[in-house]
Amino acid sequence: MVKDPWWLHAYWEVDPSRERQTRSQAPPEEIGGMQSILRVYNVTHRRFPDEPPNGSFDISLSGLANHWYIQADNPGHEFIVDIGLLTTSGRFLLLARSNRVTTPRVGPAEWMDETLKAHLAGALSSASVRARATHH
Amino acid sequence: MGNGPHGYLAILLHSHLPFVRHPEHEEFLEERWLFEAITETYLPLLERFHRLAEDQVPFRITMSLTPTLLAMLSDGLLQERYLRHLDRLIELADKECARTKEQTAFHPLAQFYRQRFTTARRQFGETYHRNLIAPFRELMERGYLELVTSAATHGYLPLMDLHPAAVRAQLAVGVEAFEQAFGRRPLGIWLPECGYHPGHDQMLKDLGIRFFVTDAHGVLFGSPRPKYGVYAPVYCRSKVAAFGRDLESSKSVWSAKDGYPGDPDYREFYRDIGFDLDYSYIRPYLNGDGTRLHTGLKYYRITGATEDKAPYDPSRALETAARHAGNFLFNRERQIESLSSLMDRQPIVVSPYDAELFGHWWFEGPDWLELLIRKVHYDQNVFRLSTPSDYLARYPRNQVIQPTMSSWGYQGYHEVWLNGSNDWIYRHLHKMVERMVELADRYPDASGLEQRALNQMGRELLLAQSSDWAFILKTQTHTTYAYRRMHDHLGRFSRLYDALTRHDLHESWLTEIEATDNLFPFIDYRVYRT
Repeated sequence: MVKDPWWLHAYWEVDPSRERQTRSQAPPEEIGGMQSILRVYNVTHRRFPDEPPNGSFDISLSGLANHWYIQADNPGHEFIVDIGLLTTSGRFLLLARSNRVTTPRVGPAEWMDETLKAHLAGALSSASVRARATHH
Repeated sequence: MGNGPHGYLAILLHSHLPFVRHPEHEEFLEERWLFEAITETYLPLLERFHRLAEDQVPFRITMSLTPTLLAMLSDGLLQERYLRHLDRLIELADKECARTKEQTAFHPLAQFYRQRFTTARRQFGETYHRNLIAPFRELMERGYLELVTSAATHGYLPLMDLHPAAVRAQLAVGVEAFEQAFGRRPLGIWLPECGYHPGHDQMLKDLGIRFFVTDAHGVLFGSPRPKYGVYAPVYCRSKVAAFGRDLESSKSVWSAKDGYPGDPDYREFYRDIGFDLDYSYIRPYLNGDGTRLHTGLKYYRITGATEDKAPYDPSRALETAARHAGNFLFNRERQIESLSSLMDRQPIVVSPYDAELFGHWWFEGPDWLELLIRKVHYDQNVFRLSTPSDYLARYPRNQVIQPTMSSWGYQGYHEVWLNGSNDWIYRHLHKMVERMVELADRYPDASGLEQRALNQMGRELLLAQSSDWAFILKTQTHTTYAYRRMHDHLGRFSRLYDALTRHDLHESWLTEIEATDNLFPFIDYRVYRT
């Protein structure tokens, strides 16, 4: 889920048997140091996973977490988040994949409809977002 | 433009209360939300609209009445309970008239409240025959009000986007509820909390809806850049129009600090005899558990940043409301003159407010609105009152842009409804939708008991989705109640799901929850089919 232009929220529920099964894919010597992580992919305009993401970053999870607020810091972009296990050798074992979300863009768009450009009066753009009165 | 107005002002009053109805209890604290809103907001607004119409003052106001509010306003049990509530208030006001006999500052106020409550009783019982939907409908038919709908239970749609079926059902049931109440399809919708997610406009289009309102940045940050800012609607690619909220006019009414409602002459909401008077005296007018509460009898004015409040003076407050109406008028005249000089068409300033701000929180709000409407008609020629659909009829050609995801909540996005205090609800809500869709697809043509159970699952799901529970969990005001409601609807839903999947339905229990969560009698669970 998107919380605002900069933050995402992910929650999950992993079936323990699925996790055991995934864990067993790793060679025995790597099972000990395995770490649960979120892998956050920037998939803007990408047909992920058929196409590679524009970039990604990992978040290490503490043991019992079942949700996380993710600072993506990237308004106007698309994200997909994986939860999985990272082995000591850097292998990533996927447990579950999120839906795709898009953060909203902030600030007035650069792109103006050319036929309308001439009409745009300066005073109107100054109506851009001021501090909003707090609701309720 | 000739001699026509330079532009338009569209005031939109959004009235909403969550569905609160507890037949299982003789009285219930949270049912007072409805009773207070009827006495303080809905009746005063109706009274003023009727007075304006009688005086032949033309006006156009847009109002949304949410489907949950419509369900409660037409509910016999709640109507009965409202009258009982008023009778007790009248009794309390009688006692207050006697108690304050020697107190020159307070006695006229006690009389003032007694008069208000008896008037409310007469209006509700005799003038409107307990049915407040009819007078709103009549004001619509006479051309004074443009009524628009909202999502079925005020579900916060951007956080539902994972399941389009969930959004579609909130919208479709909202449209159906409107049609049942007002005998026509709605042209517009108030998206709960101004919450817009790209793509939802297409669902609105499919339901015949032509416009919605976003917060200012929803339009201003849209792409391509909106030529007229928020002072003309834009079309989404679906050809549904989005009207952006004007921040300048909003702030003067909304802001607790700089806005009109904080004026020292206005009634102080937080001083109420329910808290001020001797406990044994006030106890008969409190709820079962005896917790002190707002009775509605409030004797003080805001006075200033002091605990030492001065007595309320209604005529002085009315003068201030007139002054504020004049100030608002003056500011809109200047704003609209300036905008129209920069635009090649008449601008529209869209000012949406929660209706319950008027009367309930800002006691003098309905007076201010009436005075403003009169002044707009008599005192100036710069602008006229209008509505979104009037404006679209006048200007059917508008720029096409993609508005951005947004809301009018704190910080402009979803933070109020998604934070550490309430984020746990979404895994449940999403699971419920998945199960609802699963069963709707599995039973394309249910009948009898199964059909009733599936319809009731739809009601329980919709009720669990009310944005109010997330909001309350965040604000920590009636937290226990919000927990209880999430728990109840989730529980009823899951039990129905289990009963259906195990073919183990019991009619008596189903009948019981149908009688409790009895809104949307027309619902058809197939709205969730994919």
